[in-house]
Amino acid sequence: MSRSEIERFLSDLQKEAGLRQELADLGQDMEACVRWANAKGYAFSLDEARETGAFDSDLSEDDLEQVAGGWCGNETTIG
Amino acid sequence: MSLTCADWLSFVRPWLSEALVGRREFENLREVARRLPGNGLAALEIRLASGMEAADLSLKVATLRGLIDTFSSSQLRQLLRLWSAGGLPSIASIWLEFDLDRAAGGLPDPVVCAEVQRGADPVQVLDSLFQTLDGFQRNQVLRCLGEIPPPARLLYLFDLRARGTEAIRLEILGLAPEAAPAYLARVAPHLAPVVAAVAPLVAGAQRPHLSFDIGPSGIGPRAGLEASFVKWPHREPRWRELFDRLVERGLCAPEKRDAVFAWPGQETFWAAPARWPIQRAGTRGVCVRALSHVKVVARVDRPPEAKVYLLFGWIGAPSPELW
Repeated sequence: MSRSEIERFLSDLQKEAGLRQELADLGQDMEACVRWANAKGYAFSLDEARETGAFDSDLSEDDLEQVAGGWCGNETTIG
Repeated sequence: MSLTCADWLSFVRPWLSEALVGRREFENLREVARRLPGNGLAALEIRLASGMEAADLSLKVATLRGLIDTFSSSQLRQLLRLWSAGGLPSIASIWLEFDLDRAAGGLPDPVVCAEVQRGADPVQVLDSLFQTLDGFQRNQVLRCLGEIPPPARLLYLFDLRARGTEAIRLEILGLAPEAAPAYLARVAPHLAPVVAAVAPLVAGAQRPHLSFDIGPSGIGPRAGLEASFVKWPHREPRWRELFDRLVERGLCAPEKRDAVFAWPGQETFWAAPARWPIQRAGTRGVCVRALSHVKVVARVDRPPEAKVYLLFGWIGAPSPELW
């Protein structure tokens, strides 16, 4: 049930710019995002959204360093 | 309509100061980026001196879809097809560099930058890229490769034919800036003094690169010294020290230095839902902005020049489960 609700939520976000603007106004508080989605009639929890991978989070510092090294060679050769 | 590099270029525009890329230059970049796929990393090459507004765009090849048939060079199309099919295992990655001054009216054929797989024979890469290389030029390349002191090694080979030259660029990783003049004294003595003059600017780099061009009649008049650090600027003060040295030397405008440090960061859809290109990218992944490296170009026939390379792109493949 929650998976289909999350899919419905993401699908509606894709279709409706107004919905995305409302979401933007909430900032980056994912709990607030879920409360807002629930109030809109989408029935899922924050844990369920995270389990499905629907809420991507920022990359770690280690991952970011790998990204930047992709052009310069990932090996540290000096220092 | 599929996701393009222009989607991400537009997305990162708020963090790209007009001190680095002016409005007209940005529109030129976006015009080229519209013709390139948006699933991977790209880099902006930006001149750091005052009054130097031109910027160029590079793309790390992640997919051939929507890309390969846009090039006029059959040689390039063949190379990309063979590489993507796994036929060139000694090439770890390919970057394509698009010079915007050649972009009038469409996508110019790019400079090809082939990364030599660690442990692979660089001569294999050389022969894959340049199958009809003149004997003198090939011997020059082999000699320069043979003189590289370990643990330094060839990282990239550049095919510069898109610029109308037969020259090949070698880019060596791991040669400390202070050791570069001694290497050049053995293979390209005319470049040793100009590189020695700029080497202190990039001293202490964790990932130093040295590049120079070998043409049919010998080694060219320019050398590039690149510098980068593993950690991002907020965790690595030597980035700031490097840029301060460039500013003191007159190679970087202070406002450009400050704009460079405002660039790094990352966003997910959830951080910027109103601006994220959701129609083509869905909600997944992370859009990253990174400071890649600095290059100081030294030439025997003109003053040195400094450039910065800013990475941007979409990291994290869309999940087939949800999108």
